[in-house]
Order: sequence, then C-alpha cells, then structure tokens
Amino acid sequence: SCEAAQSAMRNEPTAAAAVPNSASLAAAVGIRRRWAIEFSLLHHRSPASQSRHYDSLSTATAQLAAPAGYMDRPPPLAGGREPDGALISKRGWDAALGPLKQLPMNLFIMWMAGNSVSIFPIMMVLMLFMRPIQAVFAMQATFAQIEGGQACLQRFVYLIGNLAVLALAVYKCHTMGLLPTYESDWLSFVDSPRRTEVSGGGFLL
Amino acid sequence: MGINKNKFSFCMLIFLLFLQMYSVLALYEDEIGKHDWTRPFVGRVQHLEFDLPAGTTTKQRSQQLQGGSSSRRLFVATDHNVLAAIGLKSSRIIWRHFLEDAPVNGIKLCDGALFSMSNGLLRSWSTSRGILNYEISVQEQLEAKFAGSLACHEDPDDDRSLVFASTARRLVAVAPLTGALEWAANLDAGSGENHSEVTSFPNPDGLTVVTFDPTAGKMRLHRFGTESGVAKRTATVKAEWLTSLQRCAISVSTLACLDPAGSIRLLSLSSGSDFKPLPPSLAEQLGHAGPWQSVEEIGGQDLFQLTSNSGAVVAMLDASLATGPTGESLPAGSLLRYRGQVRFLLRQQGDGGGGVTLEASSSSSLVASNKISLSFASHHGRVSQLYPVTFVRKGGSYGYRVVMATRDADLHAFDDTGERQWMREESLAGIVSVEAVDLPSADEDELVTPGGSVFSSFAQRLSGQVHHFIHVLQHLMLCWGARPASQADSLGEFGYPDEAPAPPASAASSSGSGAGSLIRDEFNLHKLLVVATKDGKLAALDSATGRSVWRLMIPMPAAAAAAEGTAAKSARTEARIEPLAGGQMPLYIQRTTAHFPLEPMATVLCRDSSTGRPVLFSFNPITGIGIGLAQRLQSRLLQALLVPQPSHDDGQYIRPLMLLSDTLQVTLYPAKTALPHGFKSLNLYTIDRDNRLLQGYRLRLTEQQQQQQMSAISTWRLALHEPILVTAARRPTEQVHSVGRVLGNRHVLYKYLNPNLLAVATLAKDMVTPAPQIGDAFTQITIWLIDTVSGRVVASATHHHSSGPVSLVHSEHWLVYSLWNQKQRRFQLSVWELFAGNGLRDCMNATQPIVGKQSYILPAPVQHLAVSQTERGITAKSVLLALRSGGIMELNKAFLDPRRPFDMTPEFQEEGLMPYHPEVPMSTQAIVNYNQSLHRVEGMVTVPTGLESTSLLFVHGTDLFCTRVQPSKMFDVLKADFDYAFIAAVTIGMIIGSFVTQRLAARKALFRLWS
Repeated sequence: SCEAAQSAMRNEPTAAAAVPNSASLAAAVGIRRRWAIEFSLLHHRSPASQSRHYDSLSTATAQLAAPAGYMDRPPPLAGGREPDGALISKRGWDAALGPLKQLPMNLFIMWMAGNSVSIFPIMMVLMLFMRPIQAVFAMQATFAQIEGGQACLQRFVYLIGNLAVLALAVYKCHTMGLLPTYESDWLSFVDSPRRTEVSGGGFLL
Repeated sequence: MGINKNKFSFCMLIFLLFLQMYSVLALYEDEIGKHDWTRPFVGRVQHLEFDLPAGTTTKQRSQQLQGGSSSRRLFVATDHNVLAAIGLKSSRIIWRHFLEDAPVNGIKLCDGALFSMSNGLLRSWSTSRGILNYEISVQEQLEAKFAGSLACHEDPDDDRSLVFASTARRLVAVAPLTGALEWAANLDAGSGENHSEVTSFPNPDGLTVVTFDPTAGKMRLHRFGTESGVAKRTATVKAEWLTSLQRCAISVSTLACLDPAGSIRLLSLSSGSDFKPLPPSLAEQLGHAGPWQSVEEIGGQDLFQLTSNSGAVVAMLDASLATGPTGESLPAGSLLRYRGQVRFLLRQQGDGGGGVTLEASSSSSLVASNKISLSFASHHGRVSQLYPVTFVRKGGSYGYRVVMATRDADLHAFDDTGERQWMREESLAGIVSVEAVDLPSADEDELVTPGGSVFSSFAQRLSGQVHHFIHVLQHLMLCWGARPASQADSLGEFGYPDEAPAPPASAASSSGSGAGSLIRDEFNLHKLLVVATKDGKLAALDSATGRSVWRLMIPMPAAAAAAEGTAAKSARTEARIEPLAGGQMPLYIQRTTAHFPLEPMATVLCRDSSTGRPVLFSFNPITGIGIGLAQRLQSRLLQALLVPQPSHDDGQYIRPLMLLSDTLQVTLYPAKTALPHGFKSLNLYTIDRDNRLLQGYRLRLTEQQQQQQMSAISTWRLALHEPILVTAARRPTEQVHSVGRVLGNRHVLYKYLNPNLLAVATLAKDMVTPAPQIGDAFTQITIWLIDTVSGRVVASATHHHSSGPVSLVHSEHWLVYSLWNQKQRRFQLSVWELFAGNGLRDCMNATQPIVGKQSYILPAPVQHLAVSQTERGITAKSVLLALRSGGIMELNKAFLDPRRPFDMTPEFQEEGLMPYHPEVPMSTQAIVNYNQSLHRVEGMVTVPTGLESTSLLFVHGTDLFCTRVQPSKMFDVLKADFDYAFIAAVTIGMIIGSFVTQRLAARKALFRLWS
C-alpha cells in the first residue's frame, strides 16, 4: 500500500509542484482536491509491532492491513470543490500577512548584522531588498490566489507588508551610511570656486 | 678527505657570511639614485691653495710621504663658508666642511696642514681626510663679526715654522704641528673695534700686521719677530682718505693703497710713518697713468699688479726707495715660483670673454716662450681669477696647472697645453629661482584650440599633426647630421659635462639636438628645471639625471651698449647682470610647451648693475636660445605679475607679464599681447621691507583717444610697524580638489579657500613675557594673514618669547610655520586651518573665517618648509622640512591638523583624526634623501607630475637634490612586482574555459534531449 501511495504521488506531479513551501500551501487549499492520504492507520502502530507485522507479512499476505494513506473509498472530491468561505478568507489573510510576519525576524537579522560595511551585512541587505522586490514583481500571481470578500484589503495589506520590508531595507542602508543623505556625500560634486580676482606680488623689485 | 671537505664547507660558509656583510645605506639599497640625484657643490671660490708634492720644505715632503697621499688636490674656501678639498685630477670633492656663518678670512697650507681662519677661530685640518686637528680661539670673547688674517712663516733653513692668526685686537703665533701657543700679542685697533680690519704679511724675520679703523681713519703697523710677542716696531699712520683695507695690498716691505682718486700711495713698513704718493718718474715708467682700479700683491717680493681700465701692469714698488727708479714694468701676469725662484710668468691676454690666452715665460728669459689658449664657452662670462701653480715633472722639467674661476663662479682646470681637464659648475650653488617646464609632448591632444567649431578643430588638428611630423623628420635629419659632433663633446663623468668650446651657431645646433632627445615620458615625470643663478646665468637641468642641458649667460641689453657707447665700453668690467633688490630674479613661463607649432617662452627679470635698471630677457626654456634681445626698461619697477591665463584672441597663447613701474604706469610684456577676459580685477601688492609697509594696487583701464591706457591705482596700505621676516602666498597654479572636510558625523566643514591670501611673519620686542635673568629680552613673532585684494587682515596671532628663523608655507586653506621658542628653547611647528563660517562667498564680503590653530614641538632645527603639489590636488599633502642636519623630512599633513583632539571620541576616530601629541614624530624612513645630506638649503620647489600620486621635489642650496615624493604612496601605479604574466594567464584561461564549458553544456543538453 506504501508503493501505491507513492505511485499516486508520482501520477500527480502538478499538485506536488504547487506545494513548494508552507506559504503557498495555504493558497493551494483552494484548488480542487485530487487525492488524499490517510495516515490514521499508521499512527497506532509501534515500531515493535510493525516488525512483528512484517514477520507475519511473509507468512500471511492475505491478512495484510491496508498501507498508509490507503482508503477504500474514493477521496471526497465533492467537499474540495466547494471550499469553506471562512477558510478561503483565512488562507487569504495568511498570504497577505506573510511579509509582515517576516518583519520581526528581518529586524532581528539586521540588528545582528551590524552597521559595518562588509561583505556579509551587504549580502543580507541585498537579500532584504531582493525579497520584497521579487514579491512585488510576482504580485499578479499572488493576487490571483487571493480570493474572497476581503481580497482587496488583503492585497493592500500584502502590498503594505512588502513595502514595510523595503522600508526596513532602506533604513538599514541609512544606518549603514550607504544613502547619500548628507551634504558630505555630494561634496565631490561641488566645484571649487573660480578665481575671478587675480592678485600677485611680493617684495619690492 | 672528509675532514678536508668539512673544512672547505666551513670556509665557504665564512666566506658567504662575509659576502652578506655589505653596509646597508638605505631601506632598499637598489633604489639609491634610481629616482633621485644629488650634486654637491662648494660655491664661489674665494681662497684657493694647492697641495702639490712640490713642497717648499723638506718637512712637508716627508709629511706627505708619511701620509701616503700622492693625489694632488686643491683646497678652497668659498662664499658659502665651505672649506673643501677637490681632487686636481678627478674634480671630485674629497672632503668638505661647512663652517659657521662667518666669512672665511683666509686659508693657508703650512707645514703639511691646512689652516683656516674664520670668526676669530684658527683651525688646523689634516689635508688627507679633512679631520680637525685643533681649534684655537684667537680672542677670548667671540663677537658677531670678525675681521681676521692668517699668515704662515716658513723658514727653509730653519725647521721652525709658525702660523700667525690675528683679529683686529689680538695676534697669536702657533706651532703648526702641535697647536701649542708660542706667544700672543694684543693689537691696539682703535675705537671702532667691530669694524676694524686687519691684514698681515710674513717677512723674512717675522710678521707685519696692519690694522685699520675706518671710523677714525687710523692705521697701525706692528712688526713682530718670530721669537716673542713684543713688537719690534709700532707706528700709527693717519689715512682718512682710505675706505677699506680691501683697497690695499701688503707685501714684504711695502703697503700700497689706492686713494679715492685712483692713484697709488705707498707706505714703507720698515721705516715709514706716512703714505707717500708714487714718484712721477716711476709713474711714467708704468706706462699707464691710471686711475687704477685695484692693486694686488703677487710674487711676495714687493711685486704688485695694478689694474686700470686700459690694462694691467706688474711693478715692483718699494716705498723705502721711493725716489729710485726701481719699478720694473712688466706685463700683468702671475709669477709662478718653485722653491723661491720664479719659474714661469703667465700673462693674460684678451679680455677673457670666451677664452684667454696665456703666455708662459720661463724664468731664464721673461720673454714669452710658449702661448696657450684657454678657451671656454661664452656662457661662463669672463675670467674672474686665475690660480696657477707650478710643479716638477718626473723628468725634472717644470710644468704648471691653471685653475680658473670665471664670472659665473664655475671652476675650470687646465694643464699647460691649454687643454681643459675638468669643469665644476659651481654657479649652480647660487640658484635664485627655479621654474619647471614640461617637455614637448609627443601626443597631439593639446593641439586644438578650445571653443572652435568641429571642422576648424579637425583642420587644426590635421595641420598640427602634419607640422609635428615634419618637425620630427627635420629633427631626425638634424640628429643624423650632428651625430659625429655630438659624440665629440661627450660627457666626461656624471654631472661635470666636459663641453667642447664651440662657436655660437654650432652650440645652438648641438643644444638643439640635445633638447630633441628630451621628450615627455608617459607620466610627465621627466621635466626641465630652468634655473637662474645670482651671477646672471640661466641653465636647464634634466630632472631625471641632474645634467645641465643648456647654459646661457643673460646678455647685456644691446640698446645700452649702443646708447652709452664708450662709457659702456670703459665700464665693461663693472657692468653685469645681477638680481633685483633682495636677491630676487624671478622667472616667468609665458608660453608653455603645450602649443606645439609655437615655441615655448620664458622670461627672466633682472637688472644691470651699472644703471640699476630692470632688464627683461626672453628665451626658449627647452633649447636655451634667446628670443629677441635683452630689454632694458626705462623706469624702475615696483612689482611684476604674470597673468594666470593667456589671451586667446591673438592665437599666440602668451601669458602677459604685467609690469608696474614706480610711476604707477602698467605695461605689458611682450607689448603686443592683450589682457585675457574673464577677470573681475587684476591686483598687485608690494611688500616694502625697509618701511615695513604693504601696499595694494588695482589695474585700471581708461580709454584715451581710442587707445586703452593702463595704470594702477593704490587700493590699500597696511603699515605693520614691525620688521617683516618672511612672507608666503598660495601658489597660483595650485589645484584644490575638495572644497570641504567631512566630519565624523558626516557633515561638512567648508574650507576657506581664498586664493589671494598672503601670510606675513613679523618680529617685535616681547613686552609681555618678563625678560630672562641672563641674556637679551625676549622677542615675539606675529603671523598675519592678509587678503591682498582688499587689504583686510583676515587673521593674526602672536607668539610670545619666540624668534626666527621663521619659515612659512601656505597651501589650500592652511598655513604651517616653524619658529624658535626662546623660553622653552626648542623649535615649534604651528598650523592654522581656515574654515568658512557659512558656505562660500566672494572674498570681498566674506565673513571672518574660523581659524583652528595648534602647535607642535619639532625635535630638530628646520631651515625651510615646502609642501608637495600634485596635478589635481586629490592626493594628501605632505609638508617637507629641510632640517639643518641635512635631511629632508616628509611629514604627512595629517600630523599637523589643528583638529587633533585631546580626548578621542568615536566621531573623531571615524574622521580619521589622530589624538594630539605635542611632539612631531620623526622617523628615519621619512627622510627622503636618506644619507645624502643637503647643506645650506636655500629653497625647495615641488612640481606636479602627470601621475596624481607623485610630485617632483627639487632642493637647491649648496647642494642640488631632486627626487620624487609620494605622500599617499603610489596608489595610481601597479607595483613593480605585479605579476602580469600570471594575471594574463588566468584571464585567458578563464575565457577559454568558459568557451569550452559552453560547448560541453550545449552538447550535454542535446544528448539529454535525444535520450
């Protein structure tokens, strides 16, 4: 039954690809469910009993219990097709608040990185810049996933979150002294004054 | 066998160890002399003594045999107060001593040792090494200015010799070998002791000393024997008509003096009590009537050489037999004696310009036996002094050598065939002003005039390149033709080119070909240093080698000779080119080498001594050929100013020289040039040292009858009431890159960049600090910073209980100076930095700048200050200190920063400030001239090069030195050990690798698709 489950997964590569990380898992909930694994049968088996079970497996194949994730009845397709409204909104909020939730973590990382201009802090700041910018570029795809009545608000919150991360990155640049905000940064563009009055001389000749 | 082998390897090890024991002279020994050169000099020769094996006494000869030094040498004392020994064959300085700042009264070779008399001190030197044997103070009390004289009494029969040294008050007789004082006598010199003069002459049984008190017009004679200090004869002679003992000559029994009218008066030293005029019979015999200009003693037996405008004559003048016709009229010349007997008489013919002819007569008949001509290039001027010496050749015949000093202070040595053996360019020890000239460039970037249209620029560029190509071709042809000639006058050894005498035309061509080999290098590090010496000579030194590329005597203005005619001819011995007041002889580069088809032009401003009128002379600084003739100006000049930009209107690119005459008329030189536009005002200022006055003038243009008249109006006047010591202004060509300083909190402190500031140091009596218990009262130094356009005092500060020597340097927005602290008895270095109060404004309505000041202790005396200059001013500045010990120290300006804090905060640390430490750090690595000590530094010139990191430093004084200075190290050049091959290999490997992997990846992708 284990192999069966694996083969089932292999047959549905698109679904597996759609679940790359936890963030988009919530977004994937809204998609029609194709298959499901039932883990409940494995849960109450201890490893010892499992070994015993394998021993008995060699002798009596007919008495085999169903493998993990195997169900006799077909997956409840109908329930996936009509998702719960509250769930959609919850998933939507998860997606929208993702960037904001990362903010404290980013703050901590940036605090740890320090203000010295060296290769690692620079790399971290660059990463900090990259993520919201990438997110903003991929915003269409993300917004497509957000549905429901509060979608507008959620999209706005998502945007705000990314902008907050961007602001954090800019602030970090500022504290590191990478922003040309002082007049000293523009000093080399100041021309020395042109000499209009010429004066010269010396001791009496 | 094994033992032998061990022994061998042990010996080998020892040998190798010894090989390692070279003395290390610098940090990197292979870099000595790579980017720098030194030329040591002695200065203008005033006293000269020969040290030849032809000693007069047997003792001396044995001494020389003991010393084992058979090399002939000559000893000189010069106007730089240098005592030196120069090899008669090699012309090299064997040893050299810098005596104190007092003129050397005389040098004498006596009993195998060299004696010198200066500042009332008799010194004995070993001839071979120049070691000081002993030093005797002739007078107990040392005074500021001493007259002194030196005489040597050597008796060929008697072994006893004595050295007599006298000041105007006291005479000592010293045994030459031991330095033991034989006896001493007091001389009564009269009331005006400080100005009294003294001269002495040895006679067969002792010494005659003559002292003269010019204030009382009294002369005193003292005759001493060798045994005791009791004078055999003393006499007082009245001589009110005499101005100085320099117009007298003393011999064995006669003192001959010139009265103001130019006639000769004689005094018998043995019996006379009054001066007698020259008997008419004798005067007739002389052949010349006078008036005489000078009288010199020659030969030692009452033989005098008299010089007048019309000629010179040698006469035996004996005052005791004044009635008899004892005058033996001989042509002027020098008598060469050997062991008391006259061997040669050298007569000088010709006026000495470009060469002299010497007639040598042997002693048997004073008829000229052979004639030699000593010829030298015309830029040396005339002969000023001949120093002949005779000696015995190996075969027993007599020979002579002539060492000749010319007007330009150069020293030449000739043998008795008239062939020049060497020449020392001692004129370069008297450099007054220096200008660096870029060599002509090989690339044509600067051919195009800015501001033209595209087509005209293109046409200009094309024509310029064609011009350049033709020039190069011509130059190549010239080189081909002139090659044998240039090989003929090859250089003898480093620094002492043995130039062949040549007529002016070929000299010009050879100098032209010499200049042709001078082409600007890649980074413009190779330049010509055009120098003017105080003897009125111009020369160009190659900055890479120190060799003189060309030399030129500033010619006398031609107009003068024509106008004054005979007067000028008669006064020809007197008229010469000399520096202007205060030793100034400014050089102006009026057109640079950047305008290729037009030749560069430099101008020197000097004056001629006969009329005192200023003289302007223009020349090509690359080839050393004069442009036009020297011009004498009709009126005296107050000041001259080189306008910083050329006028673009006339296509001549000459920067006009503004001349301000004493009638406040302004003229331009050359007269046909026009003033460039774009300046709000042109100002001049003058510093009057005598009246302690500073005055400012502004150029005013008025239209009169459709002609622009130029005059100057006095705009301000500042009386300082204190003696002015030194002044310093910013160099007009200085580039400032950054207009502000970035602080730790990233704000900006704007520099107060006023290009028209003048720093003045004055000295006054200190009224605040109580006088010390011993010694004179304290003085104080005041530093003024004056805006020379408005005459406003921008800042000033007073240092109590301080005195000179002060040296000032002003650059960008800061000022550094050194002075002597009388109370703490130490040298101090102070720095001012000026910051603008708020933003940048015009200098006329600017607010007072904020001045930051700090002082530091300098643990060594300093003679001169300079600052490094770079092309864009990006590189950090270095202050260069010429120490009296002979070193040139490079000190980063960051050490001299008034913002160095006492309490360090992170903000200051961020800014890169060092905490304040009162002592300036002195490390031996900061001495840019390592062990090549430079003495009597008169000036330091820094020149920017094409490399931003590098500036050239040229130091002149008694020695010349040139090196490269890199204040921020060589940040714009790859290091010498940069591995080009490795980097290239890696880069090429990477490129090939990327191509290969691209191919492989494509193949793999294809295979994957197929599978």
